[in-house]
Amino acid sequence: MVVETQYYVLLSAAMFSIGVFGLLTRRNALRFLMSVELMLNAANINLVAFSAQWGNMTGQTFSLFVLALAAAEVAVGIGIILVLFRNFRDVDVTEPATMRW
Amino acid sequence: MTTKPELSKNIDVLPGLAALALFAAMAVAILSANFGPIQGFEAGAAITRSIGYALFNLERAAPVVTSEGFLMPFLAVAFVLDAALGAAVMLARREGGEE
Amino acid sequence: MIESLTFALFAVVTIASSLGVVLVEDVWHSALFLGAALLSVAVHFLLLKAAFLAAVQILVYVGGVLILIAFAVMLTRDPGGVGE
Repeated sequence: MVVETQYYVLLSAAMFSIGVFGLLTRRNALRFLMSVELMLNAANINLVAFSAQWGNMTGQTFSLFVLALAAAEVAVGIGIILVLFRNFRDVDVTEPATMRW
Repeated sequence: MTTKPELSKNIDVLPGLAALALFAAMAVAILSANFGPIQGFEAGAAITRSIGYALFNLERAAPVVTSEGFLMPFLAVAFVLDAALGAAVMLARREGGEE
Repeated sequence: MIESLTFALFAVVTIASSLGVVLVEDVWHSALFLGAALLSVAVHFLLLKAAFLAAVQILVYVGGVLILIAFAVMLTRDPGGVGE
């Protein structure tokens, strides 16, 4: 018996909301990066679930691109976080305020 | 030293409620939606092969599962990955030039 | 039946370890929870008949992204204190 698509979409909504929760409530830059990973994974689950729902390969192929973008984003994000740590001795995102406003 | 995970104590709960509200709204929308019966792939469909053909706009040239062509996004992602490599190198280098 | 059971089990694993990522105090524990979440997402891909994507998910996310994050966690540790 196959699982209904609705439950996959619900799972992905829950995962996305957890990512949003992490972005809104925490202040550590590394945890920001991990929350963004969670949100991208939620999007991937959605794409693959609807690919299986309609018997069409577009969703699966596109989720490969999401994967590649996530890898690029992490590479740049980690560079930024290491520069942040070098300049502030901390990875708290509320510390660097010079470019704000 | 090995430590067991502990729940964090300094979490701002107030903005977290926004995320909870987002989940509630999405859950109501999803559970009231009706996607119809699952069509699914045919038995023995060549799924991995279809991804390969779709990546190079060849999905009509071979007997594979229907899809759109993704040659242009493939090229765009190639440029994005190249830019990310350059950006990572630029960030990793110390300010003040070549050393 | 067996698919529904597997889905329910791994949905619980996914949600619980995602919550672990955002709720736990230590960043290192957070990274390990992220690894568990990514692996269980690969299981969901297998259930959705996307075997290739499951393999790529494990290779790229767990083998690449998570290693990068682990390096960043270790490089940004405060040498004198207790992390975070």
